[in-house]
Amino acid sequence: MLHELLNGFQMVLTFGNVFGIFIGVVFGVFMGAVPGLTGTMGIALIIPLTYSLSPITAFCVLLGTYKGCLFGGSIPAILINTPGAPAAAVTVFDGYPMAQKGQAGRAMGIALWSSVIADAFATICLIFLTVFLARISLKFGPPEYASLIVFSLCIVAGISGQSMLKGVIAAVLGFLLGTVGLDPMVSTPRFTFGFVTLFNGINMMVLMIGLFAVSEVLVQSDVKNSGVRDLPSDTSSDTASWADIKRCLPTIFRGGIIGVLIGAIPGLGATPAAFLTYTETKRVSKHPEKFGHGAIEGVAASESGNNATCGGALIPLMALGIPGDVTTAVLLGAFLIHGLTPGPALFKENISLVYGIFAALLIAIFFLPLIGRWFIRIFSLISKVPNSIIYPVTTVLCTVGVYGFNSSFTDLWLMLIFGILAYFMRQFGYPLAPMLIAFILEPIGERAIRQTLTLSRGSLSIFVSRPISLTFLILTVIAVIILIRMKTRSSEAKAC
Amino acid sequence: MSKNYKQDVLTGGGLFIFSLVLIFYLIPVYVGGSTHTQLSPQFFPIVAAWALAVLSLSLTAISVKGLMAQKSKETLKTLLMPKFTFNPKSGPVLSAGIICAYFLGFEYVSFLAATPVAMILFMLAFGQRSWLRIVCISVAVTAVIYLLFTFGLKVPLE
Repeated sequence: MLHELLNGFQMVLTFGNVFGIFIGVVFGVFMGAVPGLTGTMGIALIIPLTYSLSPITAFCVLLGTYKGCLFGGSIPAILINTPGAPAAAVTVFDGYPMAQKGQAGRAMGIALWSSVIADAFATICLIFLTVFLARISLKFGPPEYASLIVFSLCIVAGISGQSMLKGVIAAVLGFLLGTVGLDPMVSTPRFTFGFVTLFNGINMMVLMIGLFAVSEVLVQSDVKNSGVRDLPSDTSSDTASWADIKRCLPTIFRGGIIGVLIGAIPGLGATPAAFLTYTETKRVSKHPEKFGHGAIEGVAASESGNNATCGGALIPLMALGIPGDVTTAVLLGAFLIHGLTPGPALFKENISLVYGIFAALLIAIFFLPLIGRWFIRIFSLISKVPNSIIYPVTTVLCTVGVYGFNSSFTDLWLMLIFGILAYFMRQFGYPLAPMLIAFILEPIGERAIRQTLTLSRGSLSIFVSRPISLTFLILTVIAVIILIRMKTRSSEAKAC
Repeated sequence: MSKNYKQDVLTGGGLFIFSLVLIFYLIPVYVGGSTHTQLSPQFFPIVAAWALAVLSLSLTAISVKGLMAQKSKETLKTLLMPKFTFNPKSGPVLSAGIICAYFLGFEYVSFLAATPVAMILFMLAFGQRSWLRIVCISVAVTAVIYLLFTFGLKVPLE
């Protein structure tokens, strides 16, 4: 493994790749730091710019963006009480009270170092666990894949937000969109309505940008905020000391473990990891009463928890081809766009690329403190860019990004349709993540199920006669029971 | 809360109608059948459409039950006569309109002509009032994106 990792470093350590990581982290921190612009949106926006790059350079940029955006969300959370990304919502609890006490620099410093340490821990877990999982998954055939997809689709309900029913409806809509195009087995057109451009199905890029970026523009157009945000005038005078970091180390490692575990479970993501680490840290703290009033451990808990999900969420993505959260779902799209299929095949056919990606992730960790500190200093200037400039620029970038992929105007109209659909879904409380995940999993699942049934001549017993497939089906049943119980308890608690 | 129930009744009802359209019109007409494989190409769309029908009906039923539980005549009245308002000056409608106009301009005129105009309209719609800023940014963004895609990434925008 060490030899392969060294080869990975050799592959990544070129000027272009290292510069790609640097640019990615800068862009990611920027996207995370600007409220309303999310990491998912950032990765979706930057994918078109990677079309002409080699896969390894493209992933240097994309993974740098992913890491950067997870930290970036903490900056506005601390400075202006507005999380830059959903995962930074918990950072607000103690970060903003610290800023109000004149300790914004200290809070951002601890957020930065918590992110860096937890991220390093999660990346090491990724390197060791992914290869192990991938070796097991090399034994996967169509029945195992089919059961795994069924399992993943059930987990989608877990990211349904307040209403599981609406989450499942969104997933069904995504599933239906996934069936558009030529049938994978007999090439019969399905819902193409005579458009040749739809024969290959709906472009994943079009759907992603429509759902997340265009809908965000439409939502924000209701706000019409062109004013300049108020910020503390100087945040460079106070910083986190070594004593602060040392004090928070147990919290950071707790966040690292929780973040990796939560991130590795498909469908949960960074926000629950941050919440869980925060509540667990508060539970074991000697001074729980300080939480919510500017406790430095609160900031460390939130940031370590949400940043560790980066490594965690990449474990199922790379080993099994299953996205851990919505951002890795977009990254899965990037893999497919670059002609790579995450999962066992990636480890069989592109092992050097896999270790190159691991090396890029490790290098990105070194860029994060450098760029993070720089961003903390200049954020007061960036945050003054009003929405009336950010969103028009975003719209133009979305347009050229989607058009540039196929030079197709049909794709632009589809993007707008999906943007409007997503706008209404958000207004009516339907989550977007299950829709995207179901859309991505449908072709893989359908092909696997149909291949399995062809192999077994239509007999369903093949799904239970193979141990790995049976395990996933049992896990599916367990997951559904747990999710229903969790939702029922949550509803009962709200009713009380 | 009643507002959410009302929305859920409407969206649930709408989705149920859509699922029926799928089952009885769109799938039979726009998805070809085949008997050469174990499962027909229609199988997964039909499963999804039936799932959508059941789920949307459940959502509608739960929401109607919630509305009835509130026993508010006013709520039931507003449910029976939902008010639909269409304000072309509202942010999302205006933004969607500008995006449509931008796509048409991009397709039938050119990227270089359509983008600065769309940027100006967008910035005005988002509340920007400084004309110097509007003009400078729209021209600069158009130029940078055009140069980046056309010469940097070799993706023609015309």
